[in-house]
Amino acid sequence: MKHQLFTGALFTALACSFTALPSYAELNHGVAISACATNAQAQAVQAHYLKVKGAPLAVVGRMVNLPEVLVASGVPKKNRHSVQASAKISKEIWSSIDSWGAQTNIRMVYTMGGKHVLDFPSKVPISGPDLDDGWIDIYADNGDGVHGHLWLERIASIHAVDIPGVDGVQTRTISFYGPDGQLVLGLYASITTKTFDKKAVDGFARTQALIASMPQLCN
Amino acid sequence: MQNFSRNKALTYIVGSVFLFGSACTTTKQAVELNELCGSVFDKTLVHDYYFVQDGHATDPMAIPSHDNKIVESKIVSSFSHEIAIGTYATPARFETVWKSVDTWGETTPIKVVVTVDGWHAFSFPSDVPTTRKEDHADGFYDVFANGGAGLRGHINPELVSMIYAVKLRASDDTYQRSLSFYGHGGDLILGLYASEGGKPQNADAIAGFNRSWNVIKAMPRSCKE
Repeated sequence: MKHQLFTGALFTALACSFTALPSYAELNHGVAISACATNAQAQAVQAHYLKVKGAPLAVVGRMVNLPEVLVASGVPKKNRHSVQASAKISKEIWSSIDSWGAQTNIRMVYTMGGKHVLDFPSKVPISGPDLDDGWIDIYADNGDGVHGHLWLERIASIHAVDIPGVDGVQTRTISFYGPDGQLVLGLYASITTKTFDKKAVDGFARTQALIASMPQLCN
Repeated sequence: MQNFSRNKALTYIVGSVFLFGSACTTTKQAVELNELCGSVFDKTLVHDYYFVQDGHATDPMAIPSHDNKIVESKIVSSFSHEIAIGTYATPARFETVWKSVDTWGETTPIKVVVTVDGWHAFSFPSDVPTTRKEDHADGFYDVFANGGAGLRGHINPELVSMIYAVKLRASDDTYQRSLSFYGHGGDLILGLYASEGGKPQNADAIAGFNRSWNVIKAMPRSCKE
């Protein structure tokens, strides 16, 4: 019996050594996905939004257990616009965000793969000179606020989402997603139940119109 | 004889399944955590980057991370324990460390650094985000800066793998002091920078950082030196 268990242990050790262990230690470990929700995913997103009207996209992403980009593309068509990102398009959209105004108040949201949430109040971060080095550099409050560096190659799609809230205040975001469908950065012009800066809402409308004028990523 | 063989085969299977279930799971967890630690090669790379090449002495760890396409936990765990002290995170250790952050002072200015996907990087000036007094029944540990008017963070302690305090000396003898929390993939969740090399150093932030350093130092060490 002891011998047989030993043999079992040996078998186990061999089996373990051949088991393909996932590699977590390199960058770009996320798998690229389609940025567009299927009909079934859209139905799930919309059904959950009936329960949490106007919630930031990450909240519903967690409820339906989907990468956030599928929430952005799963809300009703009238509430969303999206474009496939390229370096040129990302820069053009950020130039439009610059027009919201350097002293305009927004919220910048991060979710680290949908696992955590960090929500920072900020002035609008304005893009720095285009160095054509693969990055967009952004600075808020004349350099006294956030310093940000977005790697253009790792932005796959950009979405404008404008959904009804519970108190007449819409939730409005311009959200940037990576190839794995996870949020890179959400710029919230307003969030239902929270106070907001009207200049941000006006700016959001301009950027939303710009994205709407581009070839749409999702039908 | 046939029964004996069948019993023998069954014993092999039961033994294998039982041990596979326990031993293999343990091995997998150990391998995953070890994978987040810097290798000998990574240690050489980090040493050369920070201590041989000019101008990198206090670079945020995100820079050598994306330059070399390895996750940030491998960079931070490649320093000697004199420079970086780390522990594998459990929810209890996470809470203990963040309670030490609470002592830095609610109005103490720091930088909160976020990297997304290991590439996009953001540095926010902020007051220290302190524990919000509420239950964590939803799985999140809530931290608010400036009484809720600043950063609002909701961190899932179950999904934190390592916590590291790092102290890097700049050429002018100032220090960059960071307390960083890493996810299960080794990517940064967020870093609290108590000071930056070559910039004004806040005494309250430094004293607070030193307390957090000592809290981590008292915990079991992650990654071999």
